[in-house]
Amino acid sequence: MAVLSHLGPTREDVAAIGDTVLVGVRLLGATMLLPAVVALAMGDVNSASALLLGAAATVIVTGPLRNRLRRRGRLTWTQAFTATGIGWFVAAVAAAVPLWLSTHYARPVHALVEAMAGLTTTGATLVSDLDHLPVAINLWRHELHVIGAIAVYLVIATIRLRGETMVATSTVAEAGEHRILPRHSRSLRDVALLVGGWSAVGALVLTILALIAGATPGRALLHGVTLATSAFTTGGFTITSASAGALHATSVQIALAVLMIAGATSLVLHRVARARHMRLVHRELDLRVIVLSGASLLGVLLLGLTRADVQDTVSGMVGQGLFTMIAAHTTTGMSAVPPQMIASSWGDLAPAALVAAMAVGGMSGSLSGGVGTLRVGLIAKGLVRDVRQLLLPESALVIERYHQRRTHKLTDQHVRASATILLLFMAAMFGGAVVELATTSSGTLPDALFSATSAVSTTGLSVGFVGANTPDLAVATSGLLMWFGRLEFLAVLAGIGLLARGLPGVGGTR
Amino acid sequence: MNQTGRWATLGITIAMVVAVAGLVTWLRATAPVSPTDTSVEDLLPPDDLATCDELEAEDEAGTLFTDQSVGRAQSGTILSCPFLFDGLLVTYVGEVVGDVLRRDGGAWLLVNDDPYALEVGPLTSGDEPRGMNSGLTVWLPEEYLAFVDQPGRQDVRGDVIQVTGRVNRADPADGGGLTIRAEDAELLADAVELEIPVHWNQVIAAVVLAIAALALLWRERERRDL
Repeated sequence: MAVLSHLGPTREDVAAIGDTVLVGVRLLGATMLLPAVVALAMGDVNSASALLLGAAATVIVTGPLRNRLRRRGRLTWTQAFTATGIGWFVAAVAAAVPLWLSTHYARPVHALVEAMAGLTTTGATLVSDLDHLPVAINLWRHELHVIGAIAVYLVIATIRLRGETMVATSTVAEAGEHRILPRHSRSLRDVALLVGGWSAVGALVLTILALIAGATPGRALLHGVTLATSAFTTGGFTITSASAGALHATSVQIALAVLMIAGATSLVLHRVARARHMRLVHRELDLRVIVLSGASLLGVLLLGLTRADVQDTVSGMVGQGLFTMIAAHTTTGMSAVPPQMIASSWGDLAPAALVAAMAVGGMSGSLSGGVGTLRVGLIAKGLVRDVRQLLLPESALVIERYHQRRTHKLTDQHVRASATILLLFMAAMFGGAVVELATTSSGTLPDALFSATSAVSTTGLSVGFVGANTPDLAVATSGLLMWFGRLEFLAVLAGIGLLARGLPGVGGTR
Repeated sequence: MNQTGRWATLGITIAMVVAVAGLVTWLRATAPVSPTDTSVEDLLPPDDLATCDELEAEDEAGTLFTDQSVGRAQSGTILSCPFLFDGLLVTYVGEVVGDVLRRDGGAWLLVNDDPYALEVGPLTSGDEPRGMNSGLTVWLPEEYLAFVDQPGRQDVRGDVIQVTGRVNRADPADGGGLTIRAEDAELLADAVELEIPVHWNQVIAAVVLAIAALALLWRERERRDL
C-alpha cells in the first residue's frame, strides 16, 4: 500500500473523492434555499431567483457524475484531504453563482474570491455598493462563513489525526492509507451545536446591544445575526461598509471581541471547557503563546500608534488598538478603522504589529487561520531546546515538554512539521505580495505584504490594496492565498499532487 | 463502468458546466436597469485636490477649504490625509445609509459620497458597478434630525444631506474614530424608493432548472431504491 500511494489515483480514489465533493456541493446548494426564502418573504424576486438558480445548478451539474461516483467504505486520509482541497474550490465556484447574478460584483473573479473569502472565513470583500446590497445576498455571504466554519471544525474533528495533526497537517503523509474515524454524524452534530450555540447567544446579545445603540428592531436583528456569525466564525463580513464601527457602541465591540476570541479558541479547549476540566488549562501551550503574543504585539501596536500620534486620548488609542489587535490575532479582520486610515495615518510600526499578529493567528485547531499559536510555541521550544543543548556538555540530554490536553515530549518531528508550515506560510506571504505588487500599478511593498498576509492568514483586514478596481490577477492571487492558507497548504498540494500523478508521464500506472 | 462510459459522463458534465456558465453570463448581461431617477440637484462640485501633497501646499498657504469655490470635501481625500483635515471646517455632501443611531443631543450617521450616492444611484439589477462604497461618520445635532428619516437600503436611495462641520481625526465620543461634527445641515434630496424591474428571464430559468433538479433527485432516489 505504501508503494501504491505514490502512484496515480485509483478508481476507488476518484470515486471516493468525487462522491465526497459532490455531496458537499449539493449540501451547499441546499443551503442557498434559506436566503432564497428570506428574499421571497421580502418580495425580492431577483435575489430569490438568483439563489434558487444557484441551488438547482449544483444538482444539475453534478447529476451525471453522481450516478457514476459512489464511495465504498470510509475515506482514507489522503482521499479526505484531497476531497477537502478540491471541494473547497468547487464549493466557492458554486457559491459565487448567486453573488455574480446579484450584479454587485464587477467581474466574475470578484464573485468567486468573495465566495472563497466567505467559505475560508476570511471576510475580505470585493462587493460593489455593499450599503445597498439586498438582505438575502448579505445573508448568503454570512451563511458562507457558517458553512466554512462547520467544514473547518469537521476537518479538525474527523480528518486530522488526534494530537499529532494538531501540530501539522504534514503528518497526513504518514497516515495516507489509514481510514479516518467513523464519527461524521457525531462530529457534525457537535460542531453544529458549537457554531450554532455561540452564534445564537451572540446574535441575541448583539441584537439587544444594537437596539440600545439606536438601531430599529429589524436592523438590530440583522446586525445581531450577521455580526455574531461573522465574529465567532472569525470571518469578518458585515452588512455595512463601516464594518465593526457601524453601531458606534463600545459595548458592541466588547461583545464582538468575546466572540472573536471564542472562535480563535481551539476545539480541544471548547470541549475541555464544556466538560469543565479546567484545572490544567493554564498549562496549554496554545493558550500561553496566544496570551504572550497578543500582549507583546498589542504593546508594539500601541507604541506604533503613539509614535504616529494617531490618537489624542488614551481611551481612544487603547480601544481602537485593542479591538484591531484582537481582530488581527484571531484572524477575524473586522475593523473599526477605515482601511485607508490604517495605510495613511498609522505609520509603519502599528501595521507591522498587525502583520505579525495575523501571521501568528489563533490557536491551532480553531477557526482562525495563520501559522497557529501551537506551532509557533513548538518552534520556540525547539529553539530553546537546541540552544540549551549547545550550552550543556555534549553528553547531556535536553528534554523539552509541552502541554496540549496532556503533556507531550517535544520531538524533532514536531518542530520540523511546524517549521514546514511556517516556511510555506512565509513563502506564500512573500510570493503573494510580489505577484500582487507586480500586477498593480500603484502601492508599496508594505501594503502588498499586509494584503498578502491578510489573505493567506484568512484574516481579511485591509489597507485598501486589493479592492474592486484591482487587476484580476491580483484579485485571483488573493483568492488563491485564502484557499491555500485555510487548508494549511498541504491539503491543496496533496490534491494537486494526487491528480497530477494520474497524468501521463507524471506518475505511474496501476 | 467502461472506458467509453466514463468519457461520455465526463463530456456530459463539462457540457453541463459550460451550459450553466453560459446561462449565468447571459442572465447577468440581460438584467434590466432600474428606471428610477435618483439625480441630486444643486450639488456642489467635488474638490479637485487629488493628492495629499497638493493639500499640504494648500494647508501651508492657509487656504485649505476656507474658500467655498474649492467645492465639497470628499471622503476619500479626508481618509487619505486625515492629519491635514483635523479640525478644519468642511462642506460634505452624501447619502445617509445604514442606521440613524439617535443618542443624547443628536445622532450618528454614515454618509456616503460615492457614485451610488450622488451620481448613478444605488446599484440594482443591470447597472454597472462603480467600485466600493466610500463615506464618513457624521454627528448630526438634534435640530437637523427631522429631515433625516430614511437611510439608504437595497431598494431605497436614502436622504441626501449637505453638512458643514469640523473634521475630528480622532473623536473621543466615537471611540477615537474619524468624524465630522455638523454645525449646519440641509436636505438636498429626499429619499427615493427605487423601482426594481423583475428579471423575468432569470425567474423562468430558475424555475425550469429547479424543476429539472427535482426530477433528477427523484430519479436518483428511484435508482437507489432499486
